[in-house]
Amino acid sequence: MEPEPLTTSFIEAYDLYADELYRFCLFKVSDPERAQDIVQDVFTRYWQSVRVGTEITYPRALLFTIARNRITDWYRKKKEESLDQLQDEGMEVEGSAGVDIEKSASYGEILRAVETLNEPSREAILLRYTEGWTPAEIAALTNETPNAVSVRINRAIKKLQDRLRI
Amino acid sequence: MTNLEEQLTHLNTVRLPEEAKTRMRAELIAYAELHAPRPAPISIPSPFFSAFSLRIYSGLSIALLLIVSIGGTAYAAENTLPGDILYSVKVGFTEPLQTALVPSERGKAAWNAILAERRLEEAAQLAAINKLTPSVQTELATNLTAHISATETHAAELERSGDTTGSLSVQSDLEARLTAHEQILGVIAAHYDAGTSSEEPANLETKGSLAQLIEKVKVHQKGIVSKRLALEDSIAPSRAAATVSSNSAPARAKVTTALTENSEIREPQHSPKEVLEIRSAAHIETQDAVRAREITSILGRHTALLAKFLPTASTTASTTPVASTTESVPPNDKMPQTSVEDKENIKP
Repeated sequence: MEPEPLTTSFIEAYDLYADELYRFCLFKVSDPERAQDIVQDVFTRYWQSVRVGTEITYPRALLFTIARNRITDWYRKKKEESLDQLQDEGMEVEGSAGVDIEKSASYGEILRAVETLNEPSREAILLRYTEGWTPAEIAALTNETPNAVSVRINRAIKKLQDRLRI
Repeated sequence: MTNLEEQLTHLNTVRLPEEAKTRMRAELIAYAELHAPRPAPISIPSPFFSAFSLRIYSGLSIALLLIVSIGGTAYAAENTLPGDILYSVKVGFTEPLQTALVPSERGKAAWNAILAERRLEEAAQLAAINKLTPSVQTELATNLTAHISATETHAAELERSGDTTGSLSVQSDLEARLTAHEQILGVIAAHYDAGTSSEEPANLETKGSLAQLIEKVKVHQKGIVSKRLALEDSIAPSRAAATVSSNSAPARAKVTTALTENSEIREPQHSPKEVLEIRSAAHIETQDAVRAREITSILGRHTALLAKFLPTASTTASTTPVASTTESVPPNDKMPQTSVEDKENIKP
C-alpha cells in the first residue's frame, strides 16, 4: 500500500524541524529528556491538526506555537509540584544540561548566562541567534511588534555581556 | 556581530540525539498510522425517509446503532483481562476492528506487535493474582502466536516491497516486546518457584501455566532473533568492517569477529555497495539501541508489578533487570545471553 501523502509530509516536517524544535525546548526547559518528550508531544498534536484536515500554511510557525504552549503548560505544572521534587529535578537539570548541551566550557558559561535571563529574553535570544529568525518572525510568534523584539534582544545582549564580562 | 553573538549562533550545533530522533520518528510514524486522517464524511440518507428506503437501509442503520452502542462497551472492555465478561469484546471486536483500520503494511505489523505484547501483559497480570489457569494460558498463547505470525507476514510483505529497514524495524520492535515480557514473566515465575510455603492448588496451577507460556515465548523470541540476524546479515554482510559508532556491545563484537574470519571468502566490494552496507550497518546499530531502550521502557512500565515479585532481601536486586538492559547486551543478563548464543548458532 502506498504511504499516505499526509503521513509522508508529516514525517518530512519532522525531519526538517525536529532538531530546531528540540533546541528551542531544551534551552527553555534545560532537561534533555523533558525536551525530547515535549518535541514528541508537539508533533503528535501537530498531527492531530493535520489529520482532521486543517490546512497548514506555515508548518514551522505552527510547530513553534504548539511548543511554546506546551512549555508554558509544563512550567505551570512544575510550579504546582512539591518543593522536594523541584529540588530533585534541579539537581538533575544541572548535571544533564552540562553534559548534553555543549562540552566546551565557554559555551557552558554562555548557556548558564542565558539561563539567568528572563523567559521572553531567553526565547528572543535563542530564536534570533541560534535559529536565525528575524525580529519580525519572532514578533509574529509572540504577538508583539518587531520593534519591541529588537529592543529586548539588544538589552539581553548587553546583560549577557555584563554577566560574562566581555 | 560581536563575539558573543557569534558564539550564540554556534549553539545551533545542538541536535536531537540520533538515537532519540530515530526512535521518535518510528513512534510518530506508528502514531500517524494508528490515527489515520479522517476520510471525507459520507452522507447517508435517512433510513426513515420511506418504507422502501427503510428496508434497504435498515441493515445499515442496525449496524450503525450497534457500533454506537458498542462504542461504550468497547471502551469499557479496553482494560479487561481473560475471564472478565467484556474480555471477549476486546479480543473479538475492538482489536480486530482497530486492526482493520490500520492502513499500511508497516502499521499493521507494528499494531500486531502491540497486540502480542498485550497478551503477555495480560498473562503477567493474571499470574500476579494467581489466576493464570491452563485454559487461559492456552488461549493467550494461541492469540500470541496469531499476532506474532501476523506481524511476520506484514514484515515479510514490507521486505518484498523493498522496505527492508522498515521490515527490520517492526521485527526488532516485536523482539523487544517479547524479550521484555519474557523477563517480566520470568521474574514472576522465579517468585513462585522460590515460594515453598503452603502451596495452594491455584498457586501450582499458575506456576505450571506460567512455565509453559514462558517456554512458548522463548521459542518465538529465538525464532525472531535468528530471523533478524539473518536479515541483518543479508543487508549488511560486512558490517564488521563498517565504521559504525564505538558503542558496539560485546555480542556485536563477537559477531564481528565471526564475520572477519569469513571475510576472505567474500568477493571484494564495490564502493556503492559498501556505502549501502555501511548505511544498513548504521541502521542496525541504531536499531540495537532502540531495542535496548524499548526493553528498558517496557520494564520501566512494569516496575510496580516487578517490585512485588523481586526478592525483597536486597533492594538493589529490584533495579537490576531494568538497569542492566540499558546496555545493548549485558553479559550477565539472562535474556540477551540467549541472543548471543543465537548469534553464534546461526553462523556457518
